[in-house]
Amino acid sequence: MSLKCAEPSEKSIQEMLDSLYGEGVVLSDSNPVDVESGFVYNYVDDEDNSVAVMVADPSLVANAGSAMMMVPAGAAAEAAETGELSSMMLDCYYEVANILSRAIMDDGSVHLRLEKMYTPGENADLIERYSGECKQVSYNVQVPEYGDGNMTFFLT
Amino acid sequence: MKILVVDDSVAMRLMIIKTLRQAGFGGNDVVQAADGVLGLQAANDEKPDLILCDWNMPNMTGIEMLKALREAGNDVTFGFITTEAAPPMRKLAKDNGAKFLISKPFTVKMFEEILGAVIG
Repeated sequence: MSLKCAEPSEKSIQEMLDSLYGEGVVLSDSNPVDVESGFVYNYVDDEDNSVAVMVADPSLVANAGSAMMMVPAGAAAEAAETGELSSMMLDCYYEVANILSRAIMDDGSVHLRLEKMYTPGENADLIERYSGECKQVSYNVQVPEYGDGNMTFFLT
Repeated sequence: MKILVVDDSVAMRLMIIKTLRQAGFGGNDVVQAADGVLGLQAANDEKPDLILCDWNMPNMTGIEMLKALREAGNDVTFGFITTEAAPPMRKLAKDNGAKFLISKPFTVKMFEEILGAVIG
């Protein structure tokens, strides 16, 4: 079955993260982030139907979010450890997710926008929808001078 | 010059203001608004010379705000800073009176080049 969105390539993700953080972001393949345990970023089409989600583990949100505003790396590491993320970390990573919407769009895809972020376990409908079989693309992201974390795109 | 930055993300507003400084435009007054409704209000109250506006925002989107400004006869210089970088969206922005569109993620160089022509 063909996808409504584009499959995010390592190159496209790398380029966007480099633009945000400067060169030094290290991207590699990773195990999938469970849709129930991660922060869920929902991408919708022009009719507000969910077409894809990006699920990020708390460690990625803490590290990548903190690096955007230069929150001390120690605070990011502590947040990644405890799972208690500040509103600034969440707000900053939301922008990362917003910008990564460009990685799942191309000339042949539907037009998408980031609808909302859902905290782990918050949106049962999305969890059910993406727990079934669908295309998944996962990356580990090492943020320069911070820690790392994982993201998984669930695509339809 | 007074610049109005409209974006629903506090983090993004701060990033835009930081990038304005890095691009050499730090000497301008900057005011902020968190969505299109508040942006419209700020445009009327603060009378900015330039508006830098996100596209997708709650309550009122950036393109709705731009249309409302133009319908009210306000011809303030208006540019988008947005992930909406596809040609149809650029055309829509231009057709409704936007002077430029800076795509996210942006760089200091993009601000220097695009805003340099506007701010001088």
